[in-house]
Amino acid sequence: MVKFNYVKSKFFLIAIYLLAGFCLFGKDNPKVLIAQGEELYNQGLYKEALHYFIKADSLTNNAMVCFWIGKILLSIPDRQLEALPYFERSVELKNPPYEVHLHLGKLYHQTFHFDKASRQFRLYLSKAPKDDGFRGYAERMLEVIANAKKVAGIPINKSVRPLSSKINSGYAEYAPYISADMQTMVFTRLENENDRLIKRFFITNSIDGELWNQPKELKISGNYSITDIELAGISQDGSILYLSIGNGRNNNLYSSKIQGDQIIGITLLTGEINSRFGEYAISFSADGTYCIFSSSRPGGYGGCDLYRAEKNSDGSFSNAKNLGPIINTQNDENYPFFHPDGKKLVFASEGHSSIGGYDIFETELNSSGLWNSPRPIAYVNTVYDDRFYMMDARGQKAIFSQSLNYFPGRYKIFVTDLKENIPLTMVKGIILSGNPPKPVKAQIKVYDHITKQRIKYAYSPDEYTGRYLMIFPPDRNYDIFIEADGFLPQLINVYIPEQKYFYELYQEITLNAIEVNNRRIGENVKVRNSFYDVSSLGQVDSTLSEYAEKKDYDKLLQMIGDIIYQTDSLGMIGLDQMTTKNNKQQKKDYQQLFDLIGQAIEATDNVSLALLDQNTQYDEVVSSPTYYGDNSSLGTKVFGHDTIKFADYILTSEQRVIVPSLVISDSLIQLRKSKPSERKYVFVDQIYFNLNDITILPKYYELILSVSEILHNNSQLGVELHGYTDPKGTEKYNYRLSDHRAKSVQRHLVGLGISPSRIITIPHGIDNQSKNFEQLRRVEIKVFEIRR
Amino acid sequence: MAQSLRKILIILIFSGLTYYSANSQQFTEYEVKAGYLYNFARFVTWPVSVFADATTPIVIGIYGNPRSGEIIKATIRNNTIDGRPFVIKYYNKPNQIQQCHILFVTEITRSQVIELIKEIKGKPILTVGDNIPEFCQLGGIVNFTQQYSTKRFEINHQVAIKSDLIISSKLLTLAQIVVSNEVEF
Repeated sequence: MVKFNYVKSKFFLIAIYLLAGFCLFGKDNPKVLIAQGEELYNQGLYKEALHYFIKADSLTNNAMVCFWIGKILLSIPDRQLEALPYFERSVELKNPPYEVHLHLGKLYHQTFHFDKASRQFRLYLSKAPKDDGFRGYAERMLEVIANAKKVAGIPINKSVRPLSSKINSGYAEYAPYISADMQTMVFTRLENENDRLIKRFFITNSIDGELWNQPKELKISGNYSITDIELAGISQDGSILYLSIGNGRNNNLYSSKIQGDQIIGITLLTGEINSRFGEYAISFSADGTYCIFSSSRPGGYGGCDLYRAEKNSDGSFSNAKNLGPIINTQNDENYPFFHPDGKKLVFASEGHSSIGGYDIFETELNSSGLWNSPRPIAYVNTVYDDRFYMMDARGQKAIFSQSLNYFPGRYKIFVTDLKENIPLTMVKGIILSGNPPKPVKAQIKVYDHITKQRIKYAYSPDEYTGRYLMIFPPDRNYDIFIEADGFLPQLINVYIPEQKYFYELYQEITLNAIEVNNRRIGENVKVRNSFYDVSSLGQVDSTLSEYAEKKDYDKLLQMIGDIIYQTDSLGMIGLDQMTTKNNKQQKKDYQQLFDLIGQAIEATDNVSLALLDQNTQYDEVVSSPTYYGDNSSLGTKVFGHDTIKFADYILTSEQRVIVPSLVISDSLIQLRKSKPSERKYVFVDQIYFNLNDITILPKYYELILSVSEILHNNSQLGVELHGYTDPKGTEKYNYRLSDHRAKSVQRHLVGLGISPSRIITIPHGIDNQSKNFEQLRRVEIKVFEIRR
Repeated sequence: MAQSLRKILIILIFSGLTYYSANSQQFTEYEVKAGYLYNFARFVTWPVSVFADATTPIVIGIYGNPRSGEIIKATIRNNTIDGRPFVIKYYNKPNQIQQCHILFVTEITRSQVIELIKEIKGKPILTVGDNIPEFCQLGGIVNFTQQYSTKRFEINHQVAIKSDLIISSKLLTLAQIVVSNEVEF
């Protein structure tokens, strides 16, 4: 071994001598190499230039050469920090260019050498000419470093985690935009192909915001180059994607839709939202009536600023206003996220107390309608760019993008837990029609029941999935107006109760045609509301858990005693909570449920079952049929400037407390009592008879079956059977014949299970119309409901 | 000493509460209904011929809105009765219903009920209506009543007997007993 090493090192020495000889006598003159390097550099061929500069650097000690190498390394993905030793050497050598202090300061800042960084920026300021464009930057960096020194070393007790490698698999991932339910995310990925970064957009889904599915690439349809496009925002329901398109300085905002793996329908936003200058990102209020966006237009406070604009009913924007000097600084403010609660605003800023690059700040509207001073979200902010912070509507998690430590530019998408609970209700719905049910194209408008104000941004159902999403402040009544293709408009009232915690409401709207004998005579709308109180397990009696935590057992025992004494079921919840201490995400124990029911049946214990029943969260189901009838008129309601016509006003919050059989007998009495003028005829058809015959011809069986079905399925309907004859024979005989004919149809219907009390037979005798006799020998079937 | 006594006391109190503590978790409508379906399987006896062997699964069919079926499936899975696992199947046509032990009928119209009952009449299938008006009168066996009713479910015992199903007297005690409509079709 020793001998081998000796031989090897000897060989090396010879090789170095040879190389040095070449250099002395060959054309590799450092001056020539530098000149060639500079020329290539000026042509933009950085990699080739780097080759010459490094060769030159091995031959000479030149501050400029080190500076060039550093600058080139700064431009190569992932090699920025390699520039550090070259800049360090450059400042040690004779006559370094003054710019080197700026770059070195920046790199020291990014590697957390704050004191060294300050020194470099001061040197820069002392050397740079008075009119140098970066003096302001250097001055700002001195402030930034002072900010960073203040917060450095403060421990962070929040868990900030990068998303899995399914998402963070490229060179860089940034601009994550999530829907309010945090189930959809679009983001941008840069992929490093031969040191060139290629941009791609992706979409992915998740259930919990933590684990995301394999993302699918989104292609742009239309004549747009992806290099000009950045993601700029997303609607709350994830159906509308906003884009910022331009050369980086003159970008404008566009809306678009995601269909499959395509971004389609790219449309310029109109009105005061776009200018000749740059617009980069946009976020809407929950009701969609206004937005907050970023723009570099003149008249702001410097750089990019945040603005607010109102969205008009025609989709254009007006009344764009700067958010003012509390939010905007002379540095850039960008990437706003306006929380659906309508108060909280989160944005990225290079100003304020940034500790480097963009940092994330939060603020909220106070009671006087002004913004509070923004505060940094300290556990997120780094010395690199931290941007694109978005929370879900429930306030459970936030997603944002920032650089990996020591890899500025390698943006990754991170997630963090938030402990805040925001009182909001999210309605997730689906609108379906047909059998089996399929998604239907529909429009949804939502109005505040009391103020009559249109909540303009109704998240209309996706044509392909039928799904929609709405977010409401609680303790209010809302009227949801639905216009579905091929159905009458419907108005549905939903009451969102007051609540401390976040609620989810699942709504299923099913529209169905009511048909008799393949003829459509009406339609039925069924609304199912299920409330999921996501934090129901968190509804702990706070005093109980407080005592439990403090281990104040005396108090605890006393309270347990009180609960047992009162046999208060809510208290029981509290008790059980304490036994499963703070484990709010605990899975439901179904075995316990099964055992409880089993034991209760075993003991024929009706009381336990009734208690369970009372504590069960039942769905609200309301079903409401509408028959077109002869002169169907729509109801009318006025909301602000809108007049809404609708078939039915459906109240979903009313409990179904009536016993079904009672409903039938009640309505039966009503049916018989009603006057013909109160009846609305929803279906009319004829059955013809042979001469002097009362037998129903087999060809009419299907019609009668069909009538029986409609009566079966709609307990509030009745039927009139009008018997007629032709003028042959005596009046008396024909009167009886017409009665027999009507009764014959009645018997048939009764045979099909229809209660005779819903059938009214009316003999008319001879029909004296001048028609064919065949058309006069008949029974007219008239299905009716009582006019409302 | 006093501390440990208190601890023991707490444990004693909690253990005494286990019977009621199921109330402490709030369940949704269909989770509870899944609990009933599971227990119907315990308190109803099928003819021996419907199970091929001792491990043949108990099939719960869902007829109607599949959404409630999904909740039932999630609630009931991994449970067994006497070594028999549960299998959930979805149907939307009466003639698809084969090899089914419990049929949960949810959100269908009255004429669909009539059509369904006609098809499976006499077969040893425990039909369970999801609060369908007059389900038992039309020939269904069990029907859930609506919330806050005095009895949790209705049973048409005649139909059960005709279908070769033996319903435990305990279940019958808890149920509202219903007889078929006069009219037969």
